[in-house]
Amino acid sequence: MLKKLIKHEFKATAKIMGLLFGAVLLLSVLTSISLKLPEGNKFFDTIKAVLIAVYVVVMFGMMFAGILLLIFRFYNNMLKDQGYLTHTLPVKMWQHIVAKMLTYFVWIVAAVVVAAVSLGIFLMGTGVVNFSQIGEVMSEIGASLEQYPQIITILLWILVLGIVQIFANILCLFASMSMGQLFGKHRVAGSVASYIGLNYIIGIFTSFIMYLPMNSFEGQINALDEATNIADMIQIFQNMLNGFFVITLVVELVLIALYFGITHFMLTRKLNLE
Amino acid sequence: MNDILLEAEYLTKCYGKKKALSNINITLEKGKIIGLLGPNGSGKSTFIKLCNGLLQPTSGSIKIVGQPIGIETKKVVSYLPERTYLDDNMTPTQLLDYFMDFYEDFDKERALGMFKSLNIDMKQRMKNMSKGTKEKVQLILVMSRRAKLYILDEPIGGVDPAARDYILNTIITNYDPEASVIISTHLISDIENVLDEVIFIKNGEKVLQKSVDAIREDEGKSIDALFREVFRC
Repeated sequence: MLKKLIKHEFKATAKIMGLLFGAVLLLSVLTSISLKLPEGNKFFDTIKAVLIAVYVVVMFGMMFAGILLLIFRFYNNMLKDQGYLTHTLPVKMWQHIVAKMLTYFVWIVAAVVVAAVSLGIFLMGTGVVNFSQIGEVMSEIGASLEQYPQIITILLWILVLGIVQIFANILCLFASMSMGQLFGKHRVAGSVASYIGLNYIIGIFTSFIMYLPMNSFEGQINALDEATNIADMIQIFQNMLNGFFVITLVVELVLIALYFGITHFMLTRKLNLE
Repeated sequence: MNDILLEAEYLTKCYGKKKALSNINITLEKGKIIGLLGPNGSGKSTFIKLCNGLLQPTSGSIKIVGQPIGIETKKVVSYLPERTYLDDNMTPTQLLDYFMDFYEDFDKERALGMFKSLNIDMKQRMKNMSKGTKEKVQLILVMSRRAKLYILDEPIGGVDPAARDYILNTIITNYDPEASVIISTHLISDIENVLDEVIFIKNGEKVLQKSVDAIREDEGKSIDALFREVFRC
């Protein structure tokens, strides 16, 4: 059933996301080409300016589209009229939540990838980057990674934390919207208030917890002062980061469980469609 | 007692301090068409939502096919809410696909037959359809399941009398003898002839549950006349 839910969620959103991705890529190609046009010509300059403006707008649109779609679809499917169908499907609530979460995770990541590719295309047009250089840059990066393998660990940590963070943010939106139901006729306002409230309370807790590794930082900073080579410095830096990474990961995982629990509870025990 | 399809015991639902249903006991058997009748705000919709798991009871319990409300009951209950609950961007073809994916008891041939008889364009999006046509699409999808219990909340309110006849006919002829249908409506005279049994609900309490034949025999009047008497303002 989970697979079917995901399939239908993608079906319902593929058209608009596909269009946006296509538009961003096409615009980056057009803008990239237009930058090669000779300078000083008024007509060409106007074209360039318009293309860049449209490109920036569509790019922003694409970056927010996943989140906006997620909000609209969750609200309509789970809490408005379509909820009468959603909640009477023979499907478990956790499957609904997970299906929506995974679908929008994929769209958000896809949007980041498309944005990176299109920026690459755009930069090639500006002449800052060209193909012949890419290989060179890559091999340089490879060489420095070989020299300082700790950087790979740090990059992996950042990747993992980024992924976990996306899930936590998606579920926070779900939790806020499902809490909005408790506000009777003011559900949208209730959802916004829940979102702000949740983030405020959790912000206080997390900043308190994040303070914990700070104590151990002092010694590390002294060691950093005495370090004489880059390898040592990276090692010390990594020790400091590790504490920070582990705590962040634990906090995010707890938040994911909390948001999931709130959403599940609100949609099963407190469901009250208009 | 294997003929029992639905059993509600001491069912109570409060919204804050307001009691929408209080201590209702209802037992429904297989193979019946039951009219759930009562004025607006009497608790009909609350009862229906509880049967579909769209609300949780404050106290008491409901069982359908011997199971508490959940996945197993949702598999065998086909529910038509009183509002349009389909995605406006979808076409009947896409909706058919959706229903077939999620309901094992969905009968595609039956649905296609009904879409054809009611001349519904399978490629038109819901948002471009008239309100009546949308209601027809919903009713077709709901009645195309081979369910054990159909719960229809105001199924004939928005459609024209000709379609109304077709729909009622569909309801009577399409369900199998083991299944039951609950119809909630206040257009009593229109459906009076198809009902086997009626339940009157008033202010969250059951005031009457009786077979239509027994009412005609005992009271000597139509359901419509009895309804007007019981619910006189």
